[in-house]
Amino acid sequence: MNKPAPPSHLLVPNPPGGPSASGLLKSLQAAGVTHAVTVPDFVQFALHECIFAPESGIKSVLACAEDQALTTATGLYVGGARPFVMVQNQGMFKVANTLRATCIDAGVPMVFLVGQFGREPANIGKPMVESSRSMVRLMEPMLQAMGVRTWVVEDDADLGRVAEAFAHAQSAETAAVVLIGRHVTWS
Amino acid sequence: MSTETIPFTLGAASAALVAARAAHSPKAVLVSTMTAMFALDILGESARRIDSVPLMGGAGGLGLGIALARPDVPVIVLDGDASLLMELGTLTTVAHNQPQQYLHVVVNNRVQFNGITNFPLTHAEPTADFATLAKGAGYAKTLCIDNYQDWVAALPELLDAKGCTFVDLRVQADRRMAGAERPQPLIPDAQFVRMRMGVRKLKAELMA
Repeated sequence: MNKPAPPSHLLVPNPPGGPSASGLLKSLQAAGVTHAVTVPDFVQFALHECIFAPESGIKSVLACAEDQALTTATGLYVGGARPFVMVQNQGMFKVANTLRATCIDAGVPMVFLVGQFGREPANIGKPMVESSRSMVRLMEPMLQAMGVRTWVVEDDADLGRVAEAFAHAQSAETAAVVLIGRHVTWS
Repeated sequence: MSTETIPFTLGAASAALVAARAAHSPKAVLVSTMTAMFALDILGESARRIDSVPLMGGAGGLGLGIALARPDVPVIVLDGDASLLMELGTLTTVAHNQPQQYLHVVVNNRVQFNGITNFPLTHAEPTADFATLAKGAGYAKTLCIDNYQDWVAALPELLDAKGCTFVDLRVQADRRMAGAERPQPLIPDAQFVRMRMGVRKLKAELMA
């Protein structure tokens, strides 16, 4: 008997390209991070799996909502650790008030890796503010309105921007957001 | 006044906690929020303390992060009922991450804007059981305390407990003070910078 075909929404091919999980992991290790505080992100599945591996040297701290991820990361920072926050664009919209309180008002340096979930293939290679999907299109303007700088990583050639984000967060004592524009590759 | 006749208010409960911390766990970090902050201010309790402000719902996560970074340091979170309700999932986030010595006390006065307008809260009617919620989330020990005497008696053991402990502290709401005859005051400037100062101060204290 033939198996039923998968639902059509599962058949949309993922165009080749995207930053590698191993490259991102090396960037994070080079930045000296100790903890990845996260509500797991569809775009960064491969990086999550790399970090879950004990040999990554980075502890995963799972939160059930993005506000809790950020307050927990803030506590880790106060306690002397070097955390970063790993979430999806939808979570970044949700966390705006906690971001205001911790990184902007309290001056907590924090790097975020934010997956641009829902970015359509037609937008790849174009500015994200031209995306037809609101969650992608509004991400940078919202962060800019809050005075938060962003760096876009779409390929391994962009990985140097991760170090720039960490340096900015530390020197300016604020948030720095790395937008992951393509699905992280499993390599 | 004997302890049997002391009204179980936030002020009395906070004073007992401050005395017990000094006696039994002086290295413990204290994380507070909302009206608990003001009670601690009145008591002059500033050492190894940070406040989640202006940020309702953040105390539990803040305390969790400190506990994970410094498993050698006990953490006491003095949360608010309205604050915890805003981030109720914090209970599972805390339990899942298994901090070594984490005491989570929710000041359950069943009102919002305690002592100002005492507005009603969602968990007051019908009554939600915070201790059961925490137990279901995975806290190792949960209890409900509704009088001063039991609170004072329980504190030494609570401050020494390992793992995640949760206390539903059922205190009386403070007397309402704001209204048409006496409008609420402006929030002082200090409230908007105290978390910034608290981050720096506590970080330095923990590194010393």
